[in-house]
Amino acid sequence: MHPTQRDPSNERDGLGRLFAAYREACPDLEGSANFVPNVLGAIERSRPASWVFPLRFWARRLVMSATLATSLLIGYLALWQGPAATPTADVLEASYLDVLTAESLDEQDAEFWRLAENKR
Amino acid sequence: MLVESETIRRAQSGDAAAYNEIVQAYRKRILGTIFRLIGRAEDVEDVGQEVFVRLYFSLDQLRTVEVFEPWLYRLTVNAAYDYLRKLRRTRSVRMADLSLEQLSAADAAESGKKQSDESHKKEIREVMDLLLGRISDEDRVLLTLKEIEGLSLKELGKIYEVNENALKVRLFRARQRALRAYEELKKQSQV
Repeated sequence: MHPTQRDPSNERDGLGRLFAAYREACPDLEGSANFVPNVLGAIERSRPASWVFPLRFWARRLVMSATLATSLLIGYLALWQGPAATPTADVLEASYLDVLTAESLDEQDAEFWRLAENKR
Repeated sequence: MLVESETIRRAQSGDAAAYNEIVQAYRKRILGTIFRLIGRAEDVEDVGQEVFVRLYFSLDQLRTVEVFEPWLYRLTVNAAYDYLRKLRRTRSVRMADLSLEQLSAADAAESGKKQSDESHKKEIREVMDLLLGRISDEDRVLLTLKEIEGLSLKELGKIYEVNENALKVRLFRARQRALRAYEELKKQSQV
């Protein structure tokens, strides 16, 4: 991975030779004496403030707990409440006549109990 | 690698001395690569600084130390892209023609004549700056890494995370576009 380790087959045409000349014309750069201190300074400036870390820590845990609780709740509702949670299903599947008959039976039932009460 | 694997692991765990060792070991190579990628000595340190800051904050994302070098190159390439994009936004791209001196320097380079004087080198750098300014940033970076940095297809594959055949196609097309741009540049300069 070093500029000197090149594949010489690429240098066969004019453009290849121009690239090679450019490589030789590029200076070796060491960077100024302040390069490393500048890098360290830039890291310090880019570092988030100290209070951000605990905040991020607790925020992450809060999100994880909320996700877990939501999953458990959805699981509970799906397993235990799912089939029973649709009481109108029978009504929706019944025909018009079935519904009328059921209502009429309910009314007769109520009448029967009212008469029984009166007789007592 | 220029540093021991253990040094990278220590830097990953937050060891400041190990991180400093990495910066010292790679700074010359990275600054040289950045110069060849962007062609502007005055901005090389700023881009280099950006690369090492990104390295510091993303070291924990490096899964295996064996891929450290391609990964560092990828950070360098990305920082160079960002710089070149900003440069295109803030300054108009130089579409100037070659001067007579630049033309003769380019001709001499093309015919393989070795010239070591500083003015010739400066002219070659200017020719290349004009040429690379006429092609896309993607072509510029890819050609620089292959033709000037001298990276192999295997090494480029690790940086770009694509297979070698796809790279060969991309390189061929980039070369063709650069060749066309160069011919145009020479034709315009000779008129």
